[in-house]
Amino acid sequence: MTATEFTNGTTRRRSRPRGAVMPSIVLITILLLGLAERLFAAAPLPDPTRTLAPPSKDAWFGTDAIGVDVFARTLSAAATDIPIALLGTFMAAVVGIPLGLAVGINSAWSERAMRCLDGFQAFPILLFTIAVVVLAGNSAVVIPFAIAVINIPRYMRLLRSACLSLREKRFVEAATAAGSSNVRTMRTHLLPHLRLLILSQTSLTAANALVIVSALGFLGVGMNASTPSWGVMMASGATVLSRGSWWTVVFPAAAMFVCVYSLNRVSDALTRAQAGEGPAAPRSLRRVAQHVFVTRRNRR
Amino acid sequence: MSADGPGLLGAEALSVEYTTGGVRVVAVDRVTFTLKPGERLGIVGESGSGKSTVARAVLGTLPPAAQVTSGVLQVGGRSIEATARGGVSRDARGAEIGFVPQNPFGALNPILTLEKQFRNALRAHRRRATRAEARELAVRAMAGVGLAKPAMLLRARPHELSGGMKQRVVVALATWLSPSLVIADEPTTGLDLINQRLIMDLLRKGASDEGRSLLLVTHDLPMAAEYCARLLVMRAGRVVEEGSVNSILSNPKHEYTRQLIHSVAMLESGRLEDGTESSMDGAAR
Repeated sequence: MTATEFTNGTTRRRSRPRGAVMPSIVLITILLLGLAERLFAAAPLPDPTRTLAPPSKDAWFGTDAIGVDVFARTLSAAATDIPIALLGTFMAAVVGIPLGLAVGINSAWSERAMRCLDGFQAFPILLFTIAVVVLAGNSAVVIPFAIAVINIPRYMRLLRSACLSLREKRFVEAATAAGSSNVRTMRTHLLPHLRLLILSQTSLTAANALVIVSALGFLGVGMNASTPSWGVMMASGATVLSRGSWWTVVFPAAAMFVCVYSLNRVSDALTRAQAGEGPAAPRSLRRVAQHVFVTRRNRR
Repeated sequence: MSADGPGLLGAEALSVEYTTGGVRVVAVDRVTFTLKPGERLGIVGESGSGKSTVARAVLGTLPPAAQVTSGVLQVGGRSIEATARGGVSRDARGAEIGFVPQNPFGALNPILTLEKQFRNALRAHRRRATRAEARELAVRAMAGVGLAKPAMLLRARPHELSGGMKQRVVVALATWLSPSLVIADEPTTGLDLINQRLIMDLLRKGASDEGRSLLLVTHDLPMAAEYCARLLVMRAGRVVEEGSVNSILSNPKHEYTRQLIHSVAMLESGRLEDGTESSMDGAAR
């Protein structure tokens, strides 16, 4: 027997983030392929006799200026960029979520913390990261820190505002009146409501983190020309782009695009699940343009 | 604590101010009252008279915009200088003082099962309480408020219950740890008449059976008169009249109390007149 017996026809239904499955599979596949390439295949060696070869049956994505297979390198880069982005995201979440909840539940800290964040976010952190690299030496360690520092304030703002509206709910007052401490109320009453919001923000953060990794790679921050990374590949490809070898830039960029797009779709699906809506409208890339242009116009 | 002691709960010159947009509004102005063990006190007044704010100041659940500016609270014979948030200590909430909030539709967390909500409430006081322990206590509490099949109901989420059932669960949550006082803030808002009576009878029964005190905050003068022994009439943050139900109803001293009693009488007679008119209309046709 289920508890639904007591209802007048309403059934228990949990909204499931259905649209999140496909993009997650795409993402995990790319990561696994990258790891397999890195672990099991021989490192792609430069072949001086075959530089800047266009895509062909032998080299699907062509070869770059020093004759390295772009396909192998694009896959291999997934095993650098995605883990770094995920590590940065994890660091941002681990620090940002508790801090956000703390300033959300404690009104005394709330205002002061927000003013601090205003100042903090006005600071150009990417430029700051470059300065750190110049001073402390070029190491990939700075990249996850940069991602965390950029995204912690975002978590804090989001969770604070979510907490502020939840705090007004009668059941939170009831919990306080029943002797629940702030920390307990946060954990037992607020956090279950914020689960999907946190997950959706985390996938959005991961997307943003990938863009940051690529941007820093492109600038050569924390990585050098030998690191397999989409940003590094695009930077070196950009120098020969004028000679017509578009494949050196387009394929790493496309790989990054697919990953970022997938993460955004996951986030979108989670947001919709939280709002109790069905899966997102477009299911194929072909319909994305339609989705973006038509729905945007209709919204007005 | 003896019955002739200083009282179970008391407030002396309690004042609360709200600050909104830089403007300070006095919501509660030097309110003084005492509540003896086992006594049922009703705080009556119109919306905005400050009666709910008094209850929240005692509990310490004032919203951030409110601030206790002065006053001494007495709880169980101890005096506490009211802090800005007001109120009793966290340990006392729930265990010593139970609270039945307004609006049964919002007082329960919509996404947690009832069992989990009971367990959370218990663990706020007994950290090590086991699931089985919480469950057993919850089943007893739910049966105590007259809910059938409590074990099964515990698996439900609030939206699966009717308003009356929800409010009974709320009453169970407010009383299951055997507090010596229950504060009920408009406990019957949004309920039909039968459920209103049910909830009030439950609160009264708990009071008489276990010698529990009741502080009833309501705008409903007839209800307060029926279920309380003593009344406190508030208007614009001040206590305008205090006394036994009989003396207030038969001999109201303050103009506002007279108006309040008069308006209730008008409503009652108006309802009767309507009834007769319509039946006469029917007869004429």
